[in-house]
Amino acid sequence: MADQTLFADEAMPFMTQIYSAALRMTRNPADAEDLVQETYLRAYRGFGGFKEGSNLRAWLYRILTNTFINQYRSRQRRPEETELDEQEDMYLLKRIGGLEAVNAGRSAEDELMDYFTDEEVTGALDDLPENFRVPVLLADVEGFSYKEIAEMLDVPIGTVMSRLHRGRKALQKGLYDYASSRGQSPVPSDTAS
Amino acid sequence: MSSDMTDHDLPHEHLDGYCVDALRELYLFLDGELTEERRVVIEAHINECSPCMEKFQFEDDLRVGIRTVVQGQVPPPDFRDRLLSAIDQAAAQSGGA
Repeated sequence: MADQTLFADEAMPFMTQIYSAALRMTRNPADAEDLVQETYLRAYRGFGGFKEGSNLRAWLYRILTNTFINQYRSRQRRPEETELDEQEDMYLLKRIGGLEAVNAGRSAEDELMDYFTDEEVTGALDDLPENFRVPVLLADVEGFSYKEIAEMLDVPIGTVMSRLHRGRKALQKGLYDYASSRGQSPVPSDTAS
Repeated sequence: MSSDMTDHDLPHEHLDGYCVDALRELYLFLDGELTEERRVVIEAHINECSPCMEKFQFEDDLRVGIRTVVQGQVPPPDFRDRLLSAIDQAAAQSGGA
């Protein structure tokens, strides 16, 4: 049993991170604020049932994910459960690989991210259908395990893995398409080894 | 480590199973989902095989970059206070005050 009077002290340190996840789930700031507030109010009311010593961050994200799926999805006429076209593995690397050699002295990560604006990164994420976007967020941004994500989404682990697999490939294609439509001219795939 | 990367343009010739296995387990490795036994095997392979190292590094760099962008989007400055007020209000309503 966790003491409800301690809730704010213990849960508020996760707020900024939870807001950023909520923003990518809802895709707009006003809904993200509503979602975070609803998540924290539910968590406050349920805090008596939170087992002290267990993972508070995972517990909060579970409430966040549940609230998002139940509340925000029900506002839409139909759930956004969409399939994705199959893309090849390592879509981006095959097209823009070998960047590290171009500009010595900078980290490969900086150089890779120079290809995309922040808006293109969030845009490519937001373009993913919800049933792929949420697991990709929970794994790649929030670092949760397959098992934790399966529990949050109430789906089998195999479903989490296949959605991650397809979602990540679609995300890479989306990033590439944004960058190339802006006139970035990535190295053609046939010159990359 | 970077001095070992000079041969990263060489054709990928290690088609003896190691690279195929490593690439199949790339995301399991990056996701921290391999058994310790497999993790050690894959890590040893990556450290010896620069084409695989490049692939793993690329996927990892991309993930870190995406995380940085997403987590760089912060709520408005007054949101924290509004949220705390909402929690206080819920506490008062439930008679917890």
